[in-house]
Amino acid sequence: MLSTGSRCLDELLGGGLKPPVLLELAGPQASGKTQLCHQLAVMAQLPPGEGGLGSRVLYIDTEGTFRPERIVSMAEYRGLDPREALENIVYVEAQSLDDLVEAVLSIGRLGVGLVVVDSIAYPFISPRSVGEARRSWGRLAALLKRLASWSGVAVVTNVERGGRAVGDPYTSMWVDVRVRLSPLGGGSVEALRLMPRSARACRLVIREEGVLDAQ
Amino acid sequence: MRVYVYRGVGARLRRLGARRALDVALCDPDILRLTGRVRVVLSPRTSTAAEVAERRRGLERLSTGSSRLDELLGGGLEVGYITELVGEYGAGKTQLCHQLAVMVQLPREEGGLEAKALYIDTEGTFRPERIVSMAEYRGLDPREALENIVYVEARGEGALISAVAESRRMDVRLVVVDTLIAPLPLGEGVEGLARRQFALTRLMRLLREVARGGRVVVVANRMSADRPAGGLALALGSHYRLMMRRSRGDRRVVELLRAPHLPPGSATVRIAEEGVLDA
Repeated sequence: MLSTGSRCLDELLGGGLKPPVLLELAGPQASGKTQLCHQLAVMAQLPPGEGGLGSRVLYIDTEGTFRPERIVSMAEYRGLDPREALENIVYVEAQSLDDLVEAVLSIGRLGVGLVVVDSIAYPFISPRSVGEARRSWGRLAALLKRLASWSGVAVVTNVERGGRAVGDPYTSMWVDVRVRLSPLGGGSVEALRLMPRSARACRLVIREEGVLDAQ
Repeated sequence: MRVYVYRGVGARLRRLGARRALDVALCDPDILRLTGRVRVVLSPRTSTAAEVAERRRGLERLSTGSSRLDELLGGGLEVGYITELVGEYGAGKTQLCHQLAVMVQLPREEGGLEAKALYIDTEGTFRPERIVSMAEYRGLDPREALENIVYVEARGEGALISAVAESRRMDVRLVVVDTLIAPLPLGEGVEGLARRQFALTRLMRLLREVARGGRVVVVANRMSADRPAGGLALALGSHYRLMMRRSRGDRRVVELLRAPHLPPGSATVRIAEEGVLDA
């Protein structure tokens, strides 16, 4: 079981993330999706007894928003050596869809326990032509299928457009758990489990040390 | 990523609709193995987060000219990234753009990059007089300051795209686009909207390339229906997003809307003859 680093979010997820699982974090800008991705990349490195997987992490960054300084503060807070924490993250900057596909197809041989894609939406959100737009849904589906069939933990972030997650219905077809994060202002965030649907909500707060329970 | 296809399979793949390596790579691996005639060779460009940290340690920053604003941004605008300035008409976006074109010329110890700027003006709002007063206030020779700004007036979509594409080869460390949306025509209906999104995506991709070449990229953007214009193409395409709002008199509130590693916050500045200064 991989802990998210927040007890209430773990409870919302039924105790944490049990591989194999594909988790989707949906939500608007500044809702903490990228922050939670950074935190999961740290949590996965903790030993299995302490909520981690004791494994290395693949972080696929499509938007250019990965910030090692966040990993350093979060690792320090979790009692990890920041330098080692950085060494244990395999980083891919996916500047194009080709880069993203190549990285996802290589998951198996990189020896990691967690894969983060932040965000899955960006390469698909505005294709360059009508023809590419038509093809991109099939590619998104194929990519998500790969991530879902991988026997570790996969986390993708997504945004909503016109009230629906980008890529629906393909996205919801392959995603196991969907959590929506909504910013409440002042660094505070509400998390809601949309798939499978749960009535419970959970309050989180984004701090220097990471995404924590709001008390 | 490379895809090797044995003789005779290519035509069949094309019939199935696979034209690019990507199409083949995303086929079910079992199908590929079954035919045994297609081989996908993967070589993802990986590094470790430690290497990324090393790269960011050497990151250069451009001061905005207001210490409050710099503080909000964690030390200034980052080289290699796109910063978007959103706001209503009269919020001070163009003023800040002018000031950045001056700031980039300052010596490093004063927050500049000792370099030239490219100013892409799509709405005809560039005023050399403003550059003169701001340059004088910062202790630069106004004439030299003007010489160091490459000015392009881009009133149409084609002109804008070629100016941005051209800037990848230019000897400048700051590229300002004020504003990105104005020259993109909004066609009719859904199709017109989609076409504009294609153009926007293409521009943002080009601008990312411009930024990666060691430049600060600043894009001004207006509001439409109380939201920043440009939809997700702009929202996800830029790395940092600042919203400027009118306050009392010459005061303007600048809010940090998007930043991957900085806490949310805001700063108040004032607009004076000398430029955008701490309130």
